[in-house]
Amino acid sequence: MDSRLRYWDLRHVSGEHTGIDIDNGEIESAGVTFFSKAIIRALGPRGWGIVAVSPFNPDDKGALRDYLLRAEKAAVVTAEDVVLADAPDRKLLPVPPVKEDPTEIPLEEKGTLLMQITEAAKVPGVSNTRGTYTERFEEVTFLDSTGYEVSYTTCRSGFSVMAIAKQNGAMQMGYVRDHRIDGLNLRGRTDDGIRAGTRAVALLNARAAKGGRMRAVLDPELGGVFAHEAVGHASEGDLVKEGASVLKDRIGTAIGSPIVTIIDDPTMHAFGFEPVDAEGVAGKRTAIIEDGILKRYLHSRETLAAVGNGDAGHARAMPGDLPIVRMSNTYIAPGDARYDEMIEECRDGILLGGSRGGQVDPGRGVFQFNAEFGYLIEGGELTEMVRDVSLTGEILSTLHAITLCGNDLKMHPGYCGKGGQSVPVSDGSPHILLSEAIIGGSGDV
Amino acid sequence: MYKEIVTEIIGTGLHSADEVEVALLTSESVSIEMKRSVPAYAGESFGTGLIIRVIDSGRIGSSSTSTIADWRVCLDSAISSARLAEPVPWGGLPDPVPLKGESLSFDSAVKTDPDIALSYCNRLLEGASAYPEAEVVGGGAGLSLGSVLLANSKGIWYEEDHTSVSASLETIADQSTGFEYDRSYSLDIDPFEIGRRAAELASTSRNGVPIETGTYDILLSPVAFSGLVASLLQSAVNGRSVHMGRSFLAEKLGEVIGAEHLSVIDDPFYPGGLGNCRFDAEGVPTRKNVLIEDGVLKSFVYDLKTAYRFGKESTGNAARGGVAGGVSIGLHTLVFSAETMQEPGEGHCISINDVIGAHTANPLTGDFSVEVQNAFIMEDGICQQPVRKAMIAGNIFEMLGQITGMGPTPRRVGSVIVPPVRISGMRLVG
Repeated sequence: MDSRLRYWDLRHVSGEHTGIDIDNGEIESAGVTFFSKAIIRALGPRGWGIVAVSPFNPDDKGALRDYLLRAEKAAVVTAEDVVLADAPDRKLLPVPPVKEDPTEIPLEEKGTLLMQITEAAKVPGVSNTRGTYTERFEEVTFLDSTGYEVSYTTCRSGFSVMAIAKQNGAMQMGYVRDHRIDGLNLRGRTDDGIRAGTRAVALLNARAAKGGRMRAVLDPELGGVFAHEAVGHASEGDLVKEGASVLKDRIGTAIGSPIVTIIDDPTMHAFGFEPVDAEGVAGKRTAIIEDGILKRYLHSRETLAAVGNGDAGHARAMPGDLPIVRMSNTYIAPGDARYDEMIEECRDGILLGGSRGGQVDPGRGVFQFNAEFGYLIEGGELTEMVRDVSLTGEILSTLHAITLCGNDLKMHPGYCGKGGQSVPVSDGSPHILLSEAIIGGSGDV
Repeated sequence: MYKEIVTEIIGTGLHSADEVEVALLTSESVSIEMKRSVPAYAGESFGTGLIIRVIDSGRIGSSSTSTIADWRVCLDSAISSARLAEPVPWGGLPDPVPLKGESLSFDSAVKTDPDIALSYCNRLLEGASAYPEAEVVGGGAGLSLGSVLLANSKGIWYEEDHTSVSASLETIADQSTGFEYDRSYSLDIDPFEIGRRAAELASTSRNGVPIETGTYDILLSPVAFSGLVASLLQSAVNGRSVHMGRSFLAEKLGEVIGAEHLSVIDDPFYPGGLGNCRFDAEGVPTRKNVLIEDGVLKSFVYDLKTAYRFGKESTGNAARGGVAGGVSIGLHTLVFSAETMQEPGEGHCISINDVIGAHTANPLTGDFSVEVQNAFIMEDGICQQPVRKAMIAGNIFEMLGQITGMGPTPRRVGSVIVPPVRISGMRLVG
């Protein structure tokens, strides 16, 4: 379209986001947001010129020309020499078949189904429940200056249910969520409500955990957060390129015990799946760590050209936002240990389960995440329940502490924040045993 | 043109609902993002948004769209949304009142000019060059303009403009990182100082020493304090959480919940406050709300719906954060103050600039255990040695009672205003 631009692309996302909020058995609100957002990236002689517009009208060809002129003008002040790696995988990955299309189900019916899950959380001892449903239907079109164009639609939907239990002035909460990319997940899920309610009541009698260094078993949900926070972010090519990751210059070195293999797989039909990434590149399964050795980084076309060692296809973006290097479906590969064996082997320590989120400073190499609950392990058996327990560690030493990987890999959906953008991901792991972990808690004994 | 559309939406909506409210938002921005110390992205953005709320027999519905021309679809969606919602004893949208003064978070000198953003980037780098051992990882600067037009079927027609100017820099020295930023509605940020501070943090945090697990006095920077306390306190004083039994503070009105010299005010008129505005998201004039005074919990905050439902009055705290552009309850500018200490780092303490994982605190009970970031062993206000690694654990509500005092100079951290905070008796795991 304009010969002075080395390259340009356009990513247009339009769609509808639907939400339902149920508070203590009443529909508090339910409704739809409509949007049409686009981002245009144009590569001038040096760096990127960017134009983000909302709303974007794809039928207005004059508008695109105008935006490209603006982007070209904006790029003048940039000074970085951006080079894009070739990305041959420019076709859509097969999209998982949808079992029951959420967009075809009336909002009223979804409200009724969510109500059933939320009401199920009202087990004895529970004083308040809340349920939310979110549905994101998105039509994505990507096109670039080479004439390449792809379009696809996705619909991600899911729910969360929260229960609060009260007793003698104390309160605790239980929380269960599930989000999917392959269809409505609201039917037959009242067990999840019961689980949230039961957890809230159980936590009332749990003690605050005492911090310190000890052996720890992480459940698959928390093990997944561990893979995501302790390894995933630090392997993102943009951080490596900018010198902000402790994994820089460590390809080929042992950064974990030989039983540790960690993979990011955008092709997996889990919540982080995308048919192509935000640069129109089909993702591939990227083994970041194989048998304890750092093998590959996650890349965009730009960071692949600058850093090497890894795969493009890991650039992701919220509608109307810039693509940045992100994880998709990240997991610790299963081993052959049985759960009972791991608790027995742990002997004295702590089992941590569920996730309240985490954060990492990849440059410093330090991460933190918080469990929803824990159990003390004494003499190879689970004993008392504990609450409000967290784990921190240093990326370069913690992976060496993984001494057993279970055979029970499970993925958990969630959202990951980076650079002000939140994108759907999933994390997973089997149960894992850490020979030493730094556990945080406010308890005294 | 927009004005005619807004009038038409209200008129059309009144055929199907008792009341109609329309918010029309516009925004534009420019920004430059550096990778390492080189401008890599330069961009601009333009956006519009339309939010329609309808109320019919106490049922509130909402919908929003980025495409104003599609307002009929949005209106129909808001009407369907209202049919689904549980009715509340609704007492009506507010009537218009004369608004005093001009837009509160607006400076007409702010333009979406990329040259200003570029000059800020250069000043960030100049500031950082004071510590050559700290490498710049990235950063940038941005300027934005926005407007809100709020109209309703009671005759409200309020307009407010706002501006935002921001800059940030991220650095690394060996394996020690530093980050600093500032945001203002005016051109009064100091990018040189932001850059200098980001580099200083990375540089001086190198060669950290271990600390013993134990109980310490700590000095939380405004960034660390607001990260831990602000969002938790916001949900604990939210009238809806309170009346639904989801707030730790629900039964504690009139009780002592913090140090006897602690005051917390939501002040939408605080000079320079980023959340300042004259009217809230549903057109109720904002006001100063004292949340905690002399350590005593004084009030909760409400939107109209929650107020009508529980026999309270709106405190002007409706925010746009609900489902489909609907209303939630939020604070404007949260101002903390306590007994002033000329040297809050007096004696022996651990100074903590930031924490990793503030958002993982228990949102209900306030229990937390997080990792410290850029922490130092401090003697009489001077950083002696950096701390390599430590977890700080406790309960945020209990922590409010352990505040010994605050430094003399408050800082703006987003929409929170707070000086450095001295807290006694906190547990650190080394």
